[in-house]
Amino acid sequence: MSDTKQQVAFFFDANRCTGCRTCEVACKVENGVELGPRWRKVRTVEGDQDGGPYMYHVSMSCNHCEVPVCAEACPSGAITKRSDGIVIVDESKCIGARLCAWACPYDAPQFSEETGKMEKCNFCSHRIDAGTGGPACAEACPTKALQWGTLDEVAAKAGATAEFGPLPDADITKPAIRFIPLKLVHS
Amino acid sequence: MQSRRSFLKWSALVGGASALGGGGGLLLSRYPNGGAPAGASGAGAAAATGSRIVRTANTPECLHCALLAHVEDGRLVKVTGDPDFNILACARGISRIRQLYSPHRLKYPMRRAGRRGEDRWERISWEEALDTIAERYRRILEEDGNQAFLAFGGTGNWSSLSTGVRGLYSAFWNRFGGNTPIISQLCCASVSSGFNAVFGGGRSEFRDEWVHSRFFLAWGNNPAVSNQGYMKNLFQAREEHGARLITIDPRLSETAALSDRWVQIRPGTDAAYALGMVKVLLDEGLFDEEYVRRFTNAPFLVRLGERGYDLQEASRGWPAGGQTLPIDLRDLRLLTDGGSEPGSFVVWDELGGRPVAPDTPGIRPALRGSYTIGGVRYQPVFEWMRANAARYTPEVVHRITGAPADSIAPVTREYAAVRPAAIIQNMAGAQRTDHGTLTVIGHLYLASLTGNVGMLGGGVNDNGGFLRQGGNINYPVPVQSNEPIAGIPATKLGEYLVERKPHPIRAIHVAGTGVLTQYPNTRKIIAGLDNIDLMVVQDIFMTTTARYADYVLPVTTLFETRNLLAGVRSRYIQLMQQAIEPLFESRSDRWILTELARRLGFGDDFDKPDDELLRHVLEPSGVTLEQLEEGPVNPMPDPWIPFADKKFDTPSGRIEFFSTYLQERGFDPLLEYLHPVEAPWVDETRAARYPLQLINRKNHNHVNSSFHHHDFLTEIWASQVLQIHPEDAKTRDIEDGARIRVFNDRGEIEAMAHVTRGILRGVVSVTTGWGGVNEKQTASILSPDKYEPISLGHTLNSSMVEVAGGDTPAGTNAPSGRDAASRRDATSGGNMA
Repeated sequence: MSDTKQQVAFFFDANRCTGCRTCEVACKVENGVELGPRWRKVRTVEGDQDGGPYMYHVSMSCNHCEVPVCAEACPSGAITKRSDGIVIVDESKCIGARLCAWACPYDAPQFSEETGKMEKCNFCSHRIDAGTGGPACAEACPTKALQWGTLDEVAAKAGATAEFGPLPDADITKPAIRFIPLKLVHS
Repeated sequence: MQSRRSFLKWSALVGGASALGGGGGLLLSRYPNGGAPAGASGAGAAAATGSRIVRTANTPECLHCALLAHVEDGRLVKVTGDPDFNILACARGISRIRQLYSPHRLKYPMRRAGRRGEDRWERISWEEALDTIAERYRRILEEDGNQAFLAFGGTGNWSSLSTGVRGLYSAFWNRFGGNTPIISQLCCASVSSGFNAVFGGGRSEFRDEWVHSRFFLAWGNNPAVSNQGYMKNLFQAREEHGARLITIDPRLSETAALSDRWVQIRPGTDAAYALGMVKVLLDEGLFDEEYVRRFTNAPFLVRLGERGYDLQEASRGWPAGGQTLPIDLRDLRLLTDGGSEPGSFVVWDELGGRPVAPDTPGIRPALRGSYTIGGVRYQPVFEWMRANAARYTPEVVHRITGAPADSIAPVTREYAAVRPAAIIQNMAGAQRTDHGTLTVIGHLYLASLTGNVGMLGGGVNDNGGFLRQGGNINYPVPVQSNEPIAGIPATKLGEYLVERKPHPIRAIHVAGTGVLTQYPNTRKIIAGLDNIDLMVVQDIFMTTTARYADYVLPVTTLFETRNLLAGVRSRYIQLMQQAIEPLFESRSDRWILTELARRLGFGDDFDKPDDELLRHVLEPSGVTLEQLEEGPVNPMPDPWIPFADKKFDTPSGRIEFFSTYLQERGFDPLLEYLHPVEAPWVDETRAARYPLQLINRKNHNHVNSSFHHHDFLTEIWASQVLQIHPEDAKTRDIEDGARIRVFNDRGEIEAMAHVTRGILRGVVSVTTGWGGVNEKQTASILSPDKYEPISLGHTLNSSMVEVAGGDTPAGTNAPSGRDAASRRDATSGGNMA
């Protein structure tokens, strides 16, 4: 995967997500993330449409944006984007200024009270590099609501969109994630 | 915990789960790579060095997912779901690593050093604990006999050498000579009674076959939570076949939110909605007439009174549904002596114009009409079903259920339009109501009328598993026949302990059961413990229940022992291999029971190697330990079609719309709707104090009372959350996110308010369970201890409460800032950023 140098990306289908948080826990178990920082979070969105309530879940981590504003905001150059698009934090360079967290519109960088540094999803680059699989979150998803691939692959899926629900305009950071929004057909 | 850096190093060396062999086509082994997962060393049970992956399984009352325990140098470093199993493990399963290494585990045996429940303890040795417990058990046995003992061996660990179905714990108490039994149970008693009533028993589960279904009706049940691993099959059917999903639920559940249509009804009124649907099926001819004639007792002739009854004429004056009929349906009599075969049930042959036995060749049994035989007037059962269902007009159903009157016909037409159609009612919350059996019978009526029963991908999906498919296993040790002992109804535990009914209980033994977080009216149970001499709890954590014990014994997690999972929640039989040596002084349930059995004089059969017991367990299944070493085995036919032969264990051998089972027990033989006992429109006195209907929901974080102590889960789900409609919140000055109290005359709990239009006005919802560190949030405190009259089952969803702002300090369980933040995540009113 790392040889292809194609931008990697997540894919999320709201019609398949039950809100079980297996992705969140798989991330913590795989990466040894202690209590506190949450590299991946499932959020629940509620609202009303056509007089009826609706609800859906969104599983999101760092979106490994094509325009990583976190890296631009980092005063110590700790955040870089690999040739395969994975945005990584070099903790040895991080000074814990948290400017990345301010810059990121997706709440991805997490501050660790334990280390005093920022940390976030690295797309399980250790698995990608070793050729042993993709991100643990996507591989653990019991319903395949969360998947991964190259950006080209996930963007080619039927119905996939870059814009999604209450997320900020995708043009701002060009996040490497595509969505299938919930098909709201209650009656 | 393992540091992240060493995880990386390890992962690069060993490889991830995806490196395992792909799904195999072999029936008995899904593991064509010879069963050795990548990285497995093949060394003994708990090798101290090297990296390996060990197969085990998740054992509470859930989906029994296959787990892979990744071990490095004698230490568990990761748990993943087995990608070759039929479903993938959820957050609870893979977070078990945090259970294993939790600092809060019980580490050594302890004896109570303060008041009961005060949580003061002194450490003792295993020898002292076991000697003392055995000695006191022996003395109580001598003085008051076996009836002085209560034993709870529950759903925290359903494996064979622990407290599983037909497991070692049951065998222990059997060999002890018996004990006071718990009658009925809390989970699915009304499913059993409903199936008994209409199908003569049996269960039906086809979650793997959902891929074949063309329509889903999730009824009072939330499979997106309780069957989340199988939802992929439902999604596949939607994507490949355009299968539609309709959900009937008071809440916008996780399933309702994903549905094509959501019908919101009042808790406890499901049978009325079902009868409304039956009316549409019959009125519009949407039922499968040939199926109904052949496989059900709808054509059987029945009479009311000595001379019969002019049904058509008299039923014109019948009151609307939900009101009492002028006649008593229990007086209906099936004709059994007028046909060509004496003693047989009788149908009217439309071709020959005469009464005949139902299975006479070449006949066409009448479903309609009235027939006079020997001067007595008879009608087919079908006519009575139709007359009774006719009372459930859309307006009447709307008045009872609150559902839109114009929802019933479209839902019914959609359900009847395609086959196979699945009703998903898997141990639904809707059957834990005051007349839950009628809810289940409603589902069975609909599936039977539309000919879905016995069809691949159709029918009523209920809880399943190997033993529910007719599979068989032995107890690990031979069991004996004991003198019967009068029991305690499950919901009445508190009352019976307090009032010393049916006889005084002196000792309670608990293994892996949340007695004080699941059994209803929990405060009363705690009061009843004052009458107990001795309570012993064996568990992994200091649960709420353990806190009230006299002796607490630390039990191993599933990674620290060898065990077997063959039961009622998965079709697969799985070997649970030992991954690491037991931590602290923890011991397996199996070891504890064996040591006690030895001291009580019946240890010989227990004191054998694990595998000898396991081979004995497996013998009737036809599956061997050697096969299981290579991976999970599904020994039953695949795909599975419940009732494929359309043979039913009823007196007639058919589906019984007219239920002889119910009639023999003094209940109406036909489906009827009865109002709940505890509901605001029924009990106005109670409604003046507790006007809100309370229903319990399941959540992704717990299985009953399991997983209360997993910090990766409590980090996400930090608090009990009460869902309340904006109008109900407004009149009580409750804001979203507020700390609130939920209470009734049984007790009070704390919760955080989630103000949402995703719940019916007048109804509030809490999640079941919560205990241990969150025991002020334990939902069972509020639950009623009445029981469903047919099944003696739990009625926790026919309950009333009031809710008020949290004017008392939340105490030690007050949510931290992190709790509040995670709650916002969970319910962020549309604002994600």
